[in-house]
Amino acid sequence: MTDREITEALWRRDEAGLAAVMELCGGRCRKIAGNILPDSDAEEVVADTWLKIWQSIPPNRPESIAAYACRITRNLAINRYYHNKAARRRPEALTDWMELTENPDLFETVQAADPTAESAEAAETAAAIDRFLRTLPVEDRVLFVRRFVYLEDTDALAQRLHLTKGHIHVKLHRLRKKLRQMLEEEKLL
Amino acid sequence: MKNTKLWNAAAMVGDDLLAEAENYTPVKRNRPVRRFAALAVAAVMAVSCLGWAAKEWIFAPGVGLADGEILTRVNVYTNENQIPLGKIHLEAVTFTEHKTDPAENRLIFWVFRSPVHEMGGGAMDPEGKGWLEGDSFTAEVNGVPYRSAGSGYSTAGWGCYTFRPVEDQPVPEPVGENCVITVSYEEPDMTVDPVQVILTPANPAEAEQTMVTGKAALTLLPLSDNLVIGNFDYAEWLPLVETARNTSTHAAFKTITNDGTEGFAFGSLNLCGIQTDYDCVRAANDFYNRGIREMDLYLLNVSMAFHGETGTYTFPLMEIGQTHVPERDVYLLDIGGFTCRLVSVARDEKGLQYETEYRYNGRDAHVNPTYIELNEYSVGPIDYWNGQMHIVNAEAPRNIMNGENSTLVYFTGEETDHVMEVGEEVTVYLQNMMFTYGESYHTEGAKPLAEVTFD
Repeated sequence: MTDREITEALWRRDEAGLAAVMELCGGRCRKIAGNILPDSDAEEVVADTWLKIWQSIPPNRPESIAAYACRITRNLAINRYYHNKAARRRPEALTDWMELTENPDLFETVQAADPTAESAEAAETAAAIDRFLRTLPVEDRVLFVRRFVYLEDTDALAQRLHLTKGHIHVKLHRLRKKLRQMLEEEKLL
Repeated sequence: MKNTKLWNAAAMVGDDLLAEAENYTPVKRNRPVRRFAALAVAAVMAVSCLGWAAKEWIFAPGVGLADGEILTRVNVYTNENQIPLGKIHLEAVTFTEHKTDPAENRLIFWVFRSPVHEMGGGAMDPEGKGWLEGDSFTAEVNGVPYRSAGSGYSTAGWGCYTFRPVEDQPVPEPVGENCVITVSYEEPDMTVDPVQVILTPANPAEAEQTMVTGKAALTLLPLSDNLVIGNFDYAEWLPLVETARNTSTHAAFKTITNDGTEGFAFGSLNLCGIQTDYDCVRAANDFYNRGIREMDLYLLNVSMAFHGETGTYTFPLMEIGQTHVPERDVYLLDIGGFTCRLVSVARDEKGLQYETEYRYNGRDAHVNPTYIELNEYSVGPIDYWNGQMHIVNAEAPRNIMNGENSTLVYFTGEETDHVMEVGEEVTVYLQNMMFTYGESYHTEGAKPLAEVTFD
């Protein structure tokens, strides 16, 4: 099923739509959740993702089901992480992102936010970030997505990309700097 | 934009990007030869540069390069401890008269980082966008302060940066002999190895889209000491350079050393930087290691392929002889443990393409796809087609550089319209192939792959 067909099925409350989502996104969502949570919690988060999707479509009509599901899983995983760790330590991806936005409360506000909330503003920003990513070399792009969407930590990134951890940190710093510059130029930050 | 929305927006990237991140597998870097290869590239770039410059500059009255004359001398600073970069001091011994670009009021510097280091992004990416931010450079030329005119583009440690005088004062003209140029690079959060700056004065000469053959005598200096620096400015020569990102040119060089040995070198110029395939590096090393200190460089052919566009410019200069295309079969060409196997031949709207497979001692040949740590791995077959030499376009080497062990090689140029007749006899000559997998292998001259009947 295409994304549109899945969305239409969900709008009709056709469970085949949800089954299609699970098949399309299950592996990816499990990876995202599994990057910061133990297996059992990750499975619960993924299950919660399907519930959130069922509950939020309608009224939402996401353009990309995969991206929508990833977003939900990502935020639910962070919430669960917070809950498990009693806020003693934040996921690295959030810490990194906070440096971009200079918002020390991001962790808490992400928890409070509804990951299914759609807005034109977010869509515009998402499009800008997407454009930004496509200007990057593939390795940098992969680094960004795996860090901020898949929530992968530095050790895993270093191993995956055959880079040192220091190198990873420097690359992320530069990416955040470039992204911030772009967002400021487009008045999105 | 509230931060949560920004956070959520970051996850709303395209499905293809999610899939790319999920499936991406880098090729493991092989570092040991980097330092050597990186330094060696500098010499070869100099060789390449000089070839370009032959017609306009080398033989202009009163200008430049006599046989064996050293154009410029650069001291290479080594830094084993990755201390923060200070100022790099250069002394230009001689300059040609074309030192500035009055029309653009600029100087163009080529900056080379050596060796590639771990922190700070390492080498550059294949797209030519380096991490050396152009605005991190400052320069002084005979006491006149210059600032970088923008971000530079770098490939594997090479960067091209444009400088303009601070406060828009005119660029001094000429720069003059014994000019002292100091280029500094600083980045607060980075430590980099020292930068070897190679000065390339801009040439205000009009661009020409025809390649020239020329003869330039040059001296190869020991790679561990000083390097001969070339002198060219292809930015003026190629009017599309400002708009054609990720554009590559490939050039074939025929070399005749002072002992009469003929050889070939293969180089490519990325207009966003310079990337030189390893065969050129290897050739330079071979020459030097064999005690050759002078060679004549003949620029044979240049073919440009613009990424994302269909335009191809080919400047055939030399007819090699009969060329043939093998039928759809497999032929082996062994080069010292390195095997190139023709996998298939096909025609499409671009012309003729053949797929080759490269192995070394039976193992798949891999190259570094992300960092063009110059010429650790490079395969650049140059093929003959119907009497004219066509350089493979930029796609072919990149396929190899993506870690695949096969590549599609396109023949470019006007001969691609040729339609093979059944029964037409063809032979493909693999003229020059350089490959490195730990060690390097070099072929000289042309080796026929096969002589078969196209079917």
